[in-house]
Amino acid sequence: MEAKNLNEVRDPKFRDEIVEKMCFHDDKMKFNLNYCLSCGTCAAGCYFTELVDNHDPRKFMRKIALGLKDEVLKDPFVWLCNMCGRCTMNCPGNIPLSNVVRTVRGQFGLTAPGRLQEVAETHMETGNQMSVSEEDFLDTIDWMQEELQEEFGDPNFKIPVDVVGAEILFIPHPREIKYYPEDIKSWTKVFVNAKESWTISSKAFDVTNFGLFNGRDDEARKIMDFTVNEANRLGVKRIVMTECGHGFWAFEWGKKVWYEPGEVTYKFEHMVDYMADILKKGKVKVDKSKNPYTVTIHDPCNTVRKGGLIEEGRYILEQVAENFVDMWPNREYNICCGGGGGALPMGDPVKEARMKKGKLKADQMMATGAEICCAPCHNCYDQLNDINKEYKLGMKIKHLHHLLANALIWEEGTGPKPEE
Amino acid sequence: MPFVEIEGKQVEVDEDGFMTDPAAWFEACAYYFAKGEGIEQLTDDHWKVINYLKEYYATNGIAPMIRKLCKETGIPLKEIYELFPSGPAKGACKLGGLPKPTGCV
Repeated sequence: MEAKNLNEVRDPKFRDEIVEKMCFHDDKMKFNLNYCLSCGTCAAGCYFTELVDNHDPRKFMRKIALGLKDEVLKDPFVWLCNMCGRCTMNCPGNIPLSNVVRTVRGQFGLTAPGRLQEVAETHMETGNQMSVSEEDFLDTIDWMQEELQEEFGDPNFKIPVDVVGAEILFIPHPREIKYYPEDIKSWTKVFVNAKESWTISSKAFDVTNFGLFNGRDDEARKIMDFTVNEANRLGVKRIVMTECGHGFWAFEWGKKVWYEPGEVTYKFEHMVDYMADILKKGKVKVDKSKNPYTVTIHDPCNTVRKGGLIEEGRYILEQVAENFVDMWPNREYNICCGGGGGALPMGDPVKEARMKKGKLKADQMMATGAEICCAPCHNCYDQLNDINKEYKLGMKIKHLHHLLANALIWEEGTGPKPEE
Repeated sequence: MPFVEIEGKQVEVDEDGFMTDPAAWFEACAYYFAKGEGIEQLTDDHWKVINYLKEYYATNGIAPMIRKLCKETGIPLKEIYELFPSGPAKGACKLGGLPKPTGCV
């Protein structure tokens, strides 16, 4: 490589440009990238530093500190970073590195590799990332409703759709509708057992938001609008969302950064938060002997490290499964799945790195001796399944609502009929 | 993109092993991908699903809802997952030579 005079290639305003283009929910949180000491604490925190090529947050920050704009924009780290936030936990300058990465991704003319951008565009065009039509959505709900009518022995049972004035609007993931309809029955049972006033919507049934990963704030807001507008139209009080990590975080963070203050006032409740709450309040009763398994939990970065839902998942599993064991390390120190930051839809360009990173998780999962690993995030769920297959772990990957629904105690005359 | 050899022919696949060109599919592809999915034998029901997926994709350019798949083939949901342990999107589509469905699958 030809040596270059640094002063000829550096753009001294690059650091300020990043901060200027970055979205903050509070101007007081604006910072100067000069706070970055290039000390490398981020690299020590990140589980994947130098585990795969070109994955070193310190080197990335150092390039920014030096103003090497061209180098930064073509740095593979921009798309390899899983945006999990582990690097920031011990950073003396409290630099939100995942937000720096997000800003570089979306505000400097780059386009996300693989299918990431395509998925965001499909969402904007069709209202959900899988192009599921309203007719197909309703057809699938009817189908699961019929199965529940049979299971409950109640021909009048209805899954509430588009109910104006319901207390809770529940936002599923379109893949539950398109490919995993058993999930519909699972979360419906939870709401029915808790006697909630709830509804789903035929117009907003996608919890995801890939605007979080492509870094484009205008697109992120467009995607989030589908749910916000529908919640306003139905006049609901609360919004509960299915077990999707990034979607939950996009809503909770997004309402502060993509909207004006006071424009969106809903609290977006992740399913794990909701389920822990109804268990604590005694709104549902459970029998853990219905899940006679050893179960562990993976901590998704978006729900745990960023969203603060640290104890909720553990609390649920201790109630609904016979034997809960934790991983080590755990909680906000848990090893990442390796598939975050949009790595799954990016496909080929990052697949090899994704599987290498997943080996750390695979070893950690196996060390628990658990038969089931729960992940309250659809993306982690897929990554864990890929790890499971790649490293032949033979574990079952589940969401928490699967185990809760299975452990529910039903009042006499309600719920599933005993099998004949 | 990598290639795999099936009956002496070079078949292009993506990083997850899905064919990139559905038109290049031939019967032996289904048997080849079945092995990778841990499916030992392809029954009539497997073929019912594969043929329906191929037909639907040829007309619509997208994989069908599982609702349509069950309705049109008459195979109950539970059995689909028994036939294709990785499920309809990741398993059945692969055997039928459909590209990997887009979105979180």
